[in-house]
Amino acid sequence: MSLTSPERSPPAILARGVAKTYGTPQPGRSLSVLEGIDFTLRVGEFVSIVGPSGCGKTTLLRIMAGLVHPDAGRLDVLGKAADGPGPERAMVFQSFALLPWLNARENVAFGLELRDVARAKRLAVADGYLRLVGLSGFENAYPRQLSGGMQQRIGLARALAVDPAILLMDEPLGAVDALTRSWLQLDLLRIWDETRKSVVFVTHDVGEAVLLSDRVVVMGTRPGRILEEVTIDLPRPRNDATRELPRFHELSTRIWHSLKEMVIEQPRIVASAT
Amino acid sequence: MKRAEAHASARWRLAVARGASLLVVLGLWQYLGDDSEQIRFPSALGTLRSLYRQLADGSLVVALAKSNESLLLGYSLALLVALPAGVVAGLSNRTRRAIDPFLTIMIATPLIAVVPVVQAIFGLSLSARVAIVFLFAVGILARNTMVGVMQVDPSLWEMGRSFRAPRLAMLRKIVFPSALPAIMAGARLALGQAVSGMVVAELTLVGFGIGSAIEHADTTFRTADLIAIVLVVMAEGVLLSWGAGVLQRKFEQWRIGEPDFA
Repeated sequence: MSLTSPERSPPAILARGVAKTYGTPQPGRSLSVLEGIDFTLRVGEFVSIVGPSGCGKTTLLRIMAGLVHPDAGRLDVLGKAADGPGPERAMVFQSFALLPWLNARENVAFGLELRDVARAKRLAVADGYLRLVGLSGFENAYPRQLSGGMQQRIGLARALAVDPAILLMDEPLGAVDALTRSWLQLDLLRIWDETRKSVVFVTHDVGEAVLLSDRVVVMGTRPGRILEEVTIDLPRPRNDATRELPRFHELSTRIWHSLKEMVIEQPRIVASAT
Repeated sequence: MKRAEAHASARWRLAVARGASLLVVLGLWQYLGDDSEQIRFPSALGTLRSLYRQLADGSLVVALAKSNESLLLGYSLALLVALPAGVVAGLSNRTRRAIDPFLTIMIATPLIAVVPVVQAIFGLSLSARVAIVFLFAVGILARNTMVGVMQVDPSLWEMGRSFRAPRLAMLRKIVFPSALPAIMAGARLALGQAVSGMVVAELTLVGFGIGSAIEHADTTFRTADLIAIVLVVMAEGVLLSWGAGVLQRKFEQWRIGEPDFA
């Protein structure tokens, strides 16, 4: 919640005027994916980015991760200009991105392995994070033997294991079934409560964004831009019952309406462009 | 326990079926063969006798050892060249565009047509035979390595980059293990090709080990000796392929996903 973050320390992430354009097969024509994005993530804050497909929300997250270079604008991470990935950020991928030839423990330890942490040390750390994500007893299981939800728990544990200040999550629950998804949302609430990372969470699920976040950023398409920011003033700690609160529905409805306008607006823009 | 028993009996039935089919083939061979004159197609037992004689007097073993010199050198050389080339081609679009047409030519051409060219360059030396084995094996090995590297899951690349993996660690810990099954499959196919190359080199360039043994048996009309030698070459091919298969499966254990909660 914004009240708890100290206003004078630099924000976890500060993006100003970020733009990204991709070339198209036709010469001279390019596709503006993001335009004039101003975005701030305060330290300890959980912010979700929602938007229709093609609004560039994943591109924006990848820019924050340092995986994609913006064409314009600046990106500061913890008060320093960022160019490329950094040790203070870790990413959770929609497709999990686990190494199939490593077991759960070795996968969680992989980020530490790349930082040359000694094997015994990093495996011990990995066991701790596997416990945090509720996978004790599956240390020796290989990704293929586990369900999608369990694989993403490994992905989350791997990101947490390098103890980053900032967690960047790209539709992390997009590839798991609905039941597992709502179960994982509650686990995410608990884990965030225990770790208090600064989180950017990309999703297209409005309910998920409202349940988890301190703030929801709504994005629109063509070009990808921020339409509005909604502060989620639901009390914490939150749980399954939070979904029943009238305020939860108010906020969800409001975000849903601005997304709906966007979706209805689209054909008109296309028509005027042709 | 019941499942294990069913499993064992299924394996037993398979062994019986295989043994029976082998017996049928050998029986037919024995029935149709004719050992009365050397030039006629020999019976199974006649061939076996010839095989035993050539093995016992050591001539076939020596011939095999001599021939395999070119296989060992040519195949090793192919590995040495194709693996790095394939990895680089898999990583860099520019290198791929430069190399790929050559790989296509190497794989699509009946390489036996190139043998006179090799002979023009290397004469009838060991180098010539090594070069032919190399040519037979290198294309498929490089292409498989390249494709294996290209097929590395892009999200694994991103994961590595997001953890700031150094280039070498990226190759060693993400790219190479990802590509290993494709590389092993290529190595196995290329080994079969290399054995072909070994025999082709000896039959078209100059008989050395196996090749001269075959030529000798052929020109002296000893059909039983000839078939015995061919059987030995076949056995080597099958044995090498089987060994490569065992190795391949060993590297692929994670793909099979055998439960391992030990």
